[in-house]
Amino acid sequence: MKTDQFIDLLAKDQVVEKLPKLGLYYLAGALLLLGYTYYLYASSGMGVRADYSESIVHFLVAVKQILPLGLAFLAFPFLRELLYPETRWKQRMRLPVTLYVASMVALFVYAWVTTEPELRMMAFVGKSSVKCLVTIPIYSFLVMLITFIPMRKFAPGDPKHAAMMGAVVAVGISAAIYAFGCDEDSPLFYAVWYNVGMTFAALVGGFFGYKLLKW
Amino acid sequence: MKEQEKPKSEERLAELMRAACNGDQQAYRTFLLTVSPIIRGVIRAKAGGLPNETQEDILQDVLFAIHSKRDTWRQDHPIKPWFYAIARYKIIDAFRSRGRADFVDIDDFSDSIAAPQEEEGSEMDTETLVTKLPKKQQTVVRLIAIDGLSIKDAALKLDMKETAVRVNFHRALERLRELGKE
Repeated sequence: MKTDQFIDLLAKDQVVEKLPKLGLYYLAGALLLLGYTYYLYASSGMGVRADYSESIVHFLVAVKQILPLGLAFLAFPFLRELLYPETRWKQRMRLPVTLYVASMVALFVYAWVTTEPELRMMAFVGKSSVKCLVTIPIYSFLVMLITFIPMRKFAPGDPKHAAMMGAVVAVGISAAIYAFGCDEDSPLFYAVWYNVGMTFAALVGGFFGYKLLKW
Repeated sequence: MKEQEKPKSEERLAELMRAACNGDQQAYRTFLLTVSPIIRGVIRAKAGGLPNETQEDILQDVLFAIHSKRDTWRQDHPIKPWFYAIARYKIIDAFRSRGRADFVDIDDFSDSIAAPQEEEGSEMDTETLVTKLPKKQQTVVRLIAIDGLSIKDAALKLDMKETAVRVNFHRALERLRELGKE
């Protein structure tokens, strides 16, 4: 077909779709996880730790949720930018992950120094590392499923980094919600196991997300 | 292009696209006709050795991508970086699928010499391609593209919802692109 004829056809196709409000999809993912957490709590007493309201006032317990949530909030604006074709990856976009990792490292070092040597290994291993490694990725994949599909309406000029950033937002939200039910309060535990679970989920999500976001 | 013309053409393109987003088909047609030579120029400069028909195919792929993703242009942002980025993405993609690994820079677009369409003898015309579409899509395309009806009038004639007509027309365009490549 001649290009001029093709242009004539394109000009008659006047469908202009509004781009989805991505924040609402992430919110939907978070609400779904929160709903599931509440269901677990209501039906079996799991999902939310019994002493949540007493423990959350302690700094080392609160940061388990604040830091992953902070990661998600800081990464989200960069994700939105990366979904447009003219946005290129910039060094400053590493900031959310850099700040998060630096905070976790600082917490780990602090906990290492302040924990008695004979208690360090116990605090590090904990009782629920497997649960952590399984649940955080499952939660993350659920959030990614809800959010990556509407993301396809965009046109990321750099789908690889867009997918990674989308995965980072998802793992941040998921880890924060998982922490409602987690009673491992030592940074020796969560600075390692949470982040192993989050990293795994982010890498897998980034890989498949990239395939999904190519256009 | 002279320096003082650059802001005008950026402004002019943005104006056309804004009008297109408000439903002005003529403005949208003008926009696509204006950007085609620029993109064709880059493809010609980078594609050396590929037949003209293939280069035109790549151009149409780029135009279809601009068309499909036109809602990703933010009206308070400059338009040239936007369509340059889409064109660059699709050109690199097209080259890769044809076994080439040329590097295409954004600057190639602002530096390119606009290339007009050449007359090619062997391209199938729209009518021939339309006959290969599924029945419903054929009917919609004939009414809108060939008979010149509006979406609204086509919907009334076919006793369909306007959204259904739009969706069928859009799918028909995608199918016509695929048929054109065969």
